[in-house]
Amino acid sequence: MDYSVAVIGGGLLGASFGWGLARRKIKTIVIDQGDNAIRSARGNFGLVWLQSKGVGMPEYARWTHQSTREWVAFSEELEATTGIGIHYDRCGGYILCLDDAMQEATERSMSTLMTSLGDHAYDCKSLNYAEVKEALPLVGKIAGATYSPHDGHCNPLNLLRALHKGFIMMGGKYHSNCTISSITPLSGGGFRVTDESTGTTFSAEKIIIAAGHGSAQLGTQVGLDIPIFPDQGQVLVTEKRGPVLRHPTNFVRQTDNGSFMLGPSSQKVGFNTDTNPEVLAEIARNCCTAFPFLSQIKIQRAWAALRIMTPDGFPVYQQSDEHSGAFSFACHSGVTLASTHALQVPKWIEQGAIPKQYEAFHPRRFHV
Amino acid sequence: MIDVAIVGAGPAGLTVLEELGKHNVEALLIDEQPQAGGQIYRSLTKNLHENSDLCNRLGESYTAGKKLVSSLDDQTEKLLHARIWDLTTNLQSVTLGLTSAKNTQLLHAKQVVLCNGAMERPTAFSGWNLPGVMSIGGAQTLMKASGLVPEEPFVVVGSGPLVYLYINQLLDSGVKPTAFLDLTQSNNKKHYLPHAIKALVHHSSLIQQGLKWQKRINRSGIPVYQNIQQLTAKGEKSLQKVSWQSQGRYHEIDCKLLLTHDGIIPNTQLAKAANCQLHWHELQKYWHPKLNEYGLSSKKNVWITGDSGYIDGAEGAIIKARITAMSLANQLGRLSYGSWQKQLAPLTKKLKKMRHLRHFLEHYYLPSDAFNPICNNVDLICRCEQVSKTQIQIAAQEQSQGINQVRVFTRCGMGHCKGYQCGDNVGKIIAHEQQRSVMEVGYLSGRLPVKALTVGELASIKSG
Amino acid sequence: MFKRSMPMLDPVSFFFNEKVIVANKNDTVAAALLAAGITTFSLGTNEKTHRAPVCMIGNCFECLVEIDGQSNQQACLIEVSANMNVKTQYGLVLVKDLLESNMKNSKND
Repeated sequence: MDYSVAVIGGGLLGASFGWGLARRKIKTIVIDQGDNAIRSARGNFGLVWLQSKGVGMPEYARWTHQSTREWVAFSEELEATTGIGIHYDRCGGYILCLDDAMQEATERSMSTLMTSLGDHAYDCKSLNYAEVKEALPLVGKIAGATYSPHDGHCNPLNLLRALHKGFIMMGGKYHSNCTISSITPLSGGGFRVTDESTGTTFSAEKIIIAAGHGSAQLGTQVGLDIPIFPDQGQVLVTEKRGPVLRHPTNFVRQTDNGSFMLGPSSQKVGFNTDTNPEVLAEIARNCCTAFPFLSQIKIQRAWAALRIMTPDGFPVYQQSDEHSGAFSFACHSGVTLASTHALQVPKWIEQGAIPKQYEAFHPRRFHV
Repeated sequence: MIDVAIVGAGPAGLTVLEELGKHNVEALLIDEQPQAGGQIYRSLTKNLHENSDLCNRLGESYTAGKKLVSSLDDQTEKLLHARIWDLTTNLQSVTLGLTSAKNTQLLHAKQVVLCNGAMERPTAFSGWNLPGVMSIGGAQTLMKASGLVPEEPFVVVGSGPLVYLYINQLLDSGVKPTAFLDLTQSNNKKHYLPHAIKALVHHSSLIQQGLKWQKRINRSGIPVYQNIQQLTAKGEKSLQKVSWQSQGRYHEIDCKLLLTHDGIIPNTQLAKAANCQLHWHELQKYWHPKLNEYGLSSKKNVWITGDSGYIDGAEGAIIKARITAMSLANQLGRLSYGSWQKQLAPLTKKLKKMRHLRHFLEHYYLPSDAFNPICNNVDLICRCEQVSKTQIQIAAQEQSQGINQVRVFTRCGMGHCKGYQCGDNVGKIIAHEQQRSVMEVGYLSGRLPVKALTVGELASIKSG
Repeated sequence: MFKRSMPMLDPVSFFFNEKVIVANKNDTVAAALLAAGITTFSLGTNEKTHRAPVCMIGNCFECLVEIDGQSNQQACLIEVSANMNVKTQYGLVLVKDLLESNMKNSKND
């Protein structure tokens, strides 16, 4: 076998798995597409976020909570070894509610979630307008917010860069500009992977499909059903300003270089990565309601990216029944989950199985 | 919904407007400047009225635009002092994101004609980012719009017709560069000579005009240097000295102004925003939209003409603009196929003839090695984000990334200018490191807004 | 760097870093500052990189200045107006300063 593990996909998931595997001294290759692939990892907002996650699936809330706990040590190790600043700040985050209806819905949702978590409920409270105004003096006239000290943000592009750099520093092999045409299970175990663009092949004992939107087609070759579809999100980035907003919010966050990122949006437009000015205008309106000072700030650039969305929005993790060395992972929270993807998942791969407690993430939940 | 939006009120845009008018096609002319004329005829209307001395000094190539800029009147549907920050298309229409003094809106049209002209090729060399290093086109704009001329001592470096024209305009203003570093390559005779014959036969007057400009420079006493190497701008907070090597000797001049020029390239910002396909011109090293012979891009309701489609100069722009406008009128059913083809014939012939000169100029004035980051010792490539050549080389080598991944990893092209000053050079550097063609490496994907836009202006768009 | 080759027919005065500069009507802010001998328009976000105009037609963004409390204004695309308050752009303008200087400017209206 050329490699112990082949990771197909070099975005936030693939790079996290690769880094974690190389860290465990497992001989790994990460295979990536080229520049003009969909590359959802580029569209990321940068939140490392716990609040509101897992309504309807407490396992996901617990998994996310574990991720946010492991993020500090994870980012410190990445920074120390690669010299690339991740700028992780776990300062607490706010879900701003622009009107009463949103405030009620958000509070209800939070209460349902905490109930379902029982002993695993975490620190999260709701605030009225006066309380939000005291915490965030620049906020506009909104209904209120919910706040959790577990939330934070980072520089997602630097995160991806650092994972790639660290992976290579630890001896990982990285191939880009590839198009995987086939993954063939070998009779003695293991898989043969063929890169269509160069015609080269290599073998690996285990494979992880973490190819974002390209995963479904690859999954069929090793008996994995990966039910994902694109959910388009658009983002605005503004010119840089001196730091005035430390805490990330659901609509706006200020990055480490001073620019503001504005979102979110969600559209079902297939694999379309074109921005839509009407959607952007709505983002702008919401963000100006949240923070009126933004109205005079210039927009630097805008883009659209395709979230990897599953039918219920929760991750899909699975191992093939037919070929036990084949795994697939798909989710839309590649930044928040980067720590556990890097520190926990490689252990599972090494042991050869996804632990039973993560059964909830198996896509058979959709076949009820 | 209007039939046609015309972006740009330079020679091409004004001609498209006039031609469409002949075929009763309703069109709206949009330009960023408060007056029509584009950059070539910048402030011409005002200068004709108020500054005849300046008009004389700028010469015939400037005043020749008189008829064109006077063609606009109060009846013309126009939106001046308006900036277009986005262009999107679907099968039925185009949508322009537009901000004017009145408001910010999404303007829908059945078709759009992009006539946003050309821009100067950025000239990267050691010290290029010092205040006091400016483009010749920029200096010429200062002269046209405000009557400003350089203070001596100053140095001019570059190649191309614009350089000779500008120095002549300065001589007519009683101003002389302290030195002229002529970057025209002298060792490519076998490439341009075949084209020179055809150009001479068909455009002897234009060629003679160029030679006349050159001769006057040679007679003016301005020191002219050739075979320039190691061009360097030096200074602390601004330019203080310019140095170079020429014919094996080192030269240095104290000066506060260095004017550079390395030819012009199409402005493809809106073409990129609309996702039109682009091609790389291997000889002249610029990206241009893929167009059919009538100026239709890869998007069926986006037409691109004038210099923003391909560099053909002002006269070529006017011919192409007419061809595009007629073809558009035919597309909209206002001009029958027979009439269209009949009117096209002489124009196509004229354009073909024009292209003899163009081919000569393309082979004679090649992009300079002095400004090519592969050949020179420039360190800073992305000025906005302060990214060095070394950083880009590392990103290109380490992970075989394409140009957009290199942008993600180094931040080059993420600053204010969105890659205008660095994008093509980043492409060249990556191509060199990865032994690929620039066409394969690609270009920085376009991002809205193409022009300034505040969050508040965007938010103010009325929905629906 | 540059000088006027003809007299100003329609003078307009404005402020640059609190000093009065006289320009001609329809001059862009960039032209007016260059004619007045200004060589630094902004000091970049690192507060060290001196920037001045290059292209004069809105493509290079090296001519950014602060005008009437708004930062990142392209001086080559904006015409001077009487009593306009132009400043060297220095580093990252704080939103708080923007809000305060806006209040100051609106008081002058």
